Amino acid sequence: MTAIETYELTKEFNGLTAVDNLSLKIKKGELFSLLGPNGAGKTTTIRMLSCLLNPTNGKIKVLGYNAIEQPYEVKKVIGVSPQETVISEFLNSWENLELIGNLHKMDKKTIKERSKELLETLGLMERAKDPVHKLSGGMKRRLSLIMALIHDPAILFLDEPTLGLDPQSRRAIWKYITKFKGEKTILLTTHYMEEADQLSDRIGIMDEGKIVALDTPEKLKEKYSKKRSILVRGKNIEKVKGKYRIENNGIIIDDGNIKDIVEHLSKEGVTIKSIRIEEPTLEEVFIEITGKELRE
Amino acid sequence: MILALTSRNIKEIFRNKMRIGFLLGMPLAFMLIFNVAFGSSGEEIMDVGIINLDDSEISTTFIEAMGTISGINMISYDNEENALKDLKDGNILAYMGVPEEFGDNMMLIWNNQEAEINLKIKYDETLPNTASKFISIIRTYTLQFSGVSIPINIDSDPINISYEKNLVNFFAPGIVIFGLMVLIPTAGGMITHDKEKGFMERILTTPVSPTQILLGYSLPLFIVALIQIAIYMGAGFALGMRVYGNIFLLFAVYMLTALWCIGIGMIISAWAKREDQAEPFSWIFMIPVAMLSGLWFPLEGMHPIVKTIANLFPSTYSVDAARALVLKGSEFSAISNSIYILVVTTMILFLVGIVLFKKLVVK
Repeated sequence: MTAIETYELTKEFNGLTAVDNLSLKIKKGELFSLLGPNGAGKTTTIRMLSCLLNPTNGKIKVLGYNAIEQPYEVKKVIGVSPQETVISEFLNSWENLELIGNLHKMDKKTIKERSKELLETLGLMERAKDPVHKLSGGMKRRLSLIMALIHDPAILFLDEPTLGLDPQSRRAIWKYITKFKGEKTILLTTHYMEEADQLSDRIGIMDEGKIVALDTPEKLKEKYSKKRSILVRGKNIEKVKGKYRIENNGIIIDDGNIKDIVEHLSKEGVTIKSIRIEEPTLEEVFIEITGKELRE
Repeated sequence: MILALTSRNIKEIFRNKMRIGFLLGMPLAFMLIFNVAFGSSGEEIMDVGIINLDDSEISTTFIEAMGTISGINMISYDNEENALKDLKDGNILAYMGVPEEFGDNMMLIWNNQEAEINLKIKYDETLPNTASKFISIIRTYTLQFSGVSIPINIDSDPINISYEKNLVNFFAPGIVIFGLMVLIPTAGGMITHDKEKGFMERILTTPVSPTQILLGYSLPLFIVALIQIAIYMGAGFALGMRVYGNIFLLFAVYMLTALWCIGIGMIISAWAKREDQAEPFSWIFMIPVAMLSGLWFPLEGMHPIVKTIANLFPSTYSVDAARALVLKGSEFSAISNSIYILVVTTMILFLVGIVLFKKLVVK
């Protein structure tokens, strides 16, 4: 079952093409990531999918509803967490959640139950009654995220959900997102490789308005990155100079059986301290495809 | 959903100490400054003339009892000519003629028969508050005297004598209307702030219509405006302001003023991208409008072009209607044109505001 479908979706701003003929199908329950540098068109895509922006051309279907002609139907089933932290500064966390709940016509009791659950899960309960302008940046960010979840939407748009967060908060959010993987359809944009790699069922690498590669993280790596390599560190490395590639005081072996490598190096007189298998990374995939580095 | 937004915006306004302090403190400060600047006229005693053309027992009693009213000092005249001369010389502020057959007609009225009584009052129109005070006293007094609500017509006939205009009563409507115009930058700023911070987009990702959103912003500001109007009126009364017309009608004129101001703020917010564009733009719009619509200075005697321009601004109709109510004690019929224009303007501004919001914000 397809949850989100775009067909030749295009958005131009004053002659500049932000999104270029994007045709995409996201399955129900799938977590799909758009990975790309700033300005790749990720946010523009999300804004069109969430009926905030009319496309210049193309079609969008969200759970069978035409997003251009039936925006209200679409808005009922989606939850959008914007890139910036968007909260109502003089309200407290409860009231912020209540507002969105009311706008979705939820009943009071459900709002309260859902809010409680969300506030507790994301560690906001303790300060839930403080006006939100007094909360820390990370707390505000988490609140902004759960405001997209209060009405338990079938489809979630998460635009850079962990942008600017400390590693701890980032991991907490990843953990939370993983919780309803398979249950909700999630479209996530990010320019964090690790985030896309860890969370996604499929990744679309986006550059200059187009999806330039689309597959599961594993397959992308398999397809586009070098094979895994083995890095050995230890003493007397210079003894194998010429026989192996040596970079930064480490021996790099493109592939091979670990046992053979250990035996061979010991024979040569190298004292092995550590062996690390370097897996291919999305970063490599990305550079390979776009020719660009993705800066954080 | 409108209520949800209203409740949110009320909290945003009332918990933001800077904002609410400005919105509610300013009216008070405004009134106080003007009171210091122009001084309260206080409870002066008015010299008024009276001409008894009837000479019946009833008319004599009517006039004698009137002499006991505090605040007015009556001077009798034999004929209108002398009274008019004294009025022009500034010896009296107004005079009233008790018509012939006053007593007979009063008797008819008391016997439940039809009759009409015309009290003729002539006053110096350049001292409007004094005149309206006098007319108000006469109205109250005749009602008390006759005991029943009877059709007493007061033919007021102003003449222009001097040019003394520094009166708190004259300025009060202008102050209130200018004060309410602060709702333009407030409405414009609030909506633009939420646009700028992405909050508007967040609301727009929920199934709420543009009209509901704009009402959700207008309603809380309207509530603030009601409080502001109450403060203005309260402060005004405390400082000796008098309203000679229907106070509810005056309240309605002020409420309409608040509404068209919110409408203009809404339109500004549709264009402005950032809050620091919306607020200065509102002020740039407000100051000339205030100047040209007779808020501070009466438009009489100004260049015809100024008057033509003034007719384009809703503030002109607000201040005309409010001034007529405060100073002249006008009836609804006298200001109905202004009120209709204000109602229509408000509706047009809201419609344009909603259309622009749909076009420029919702996209």
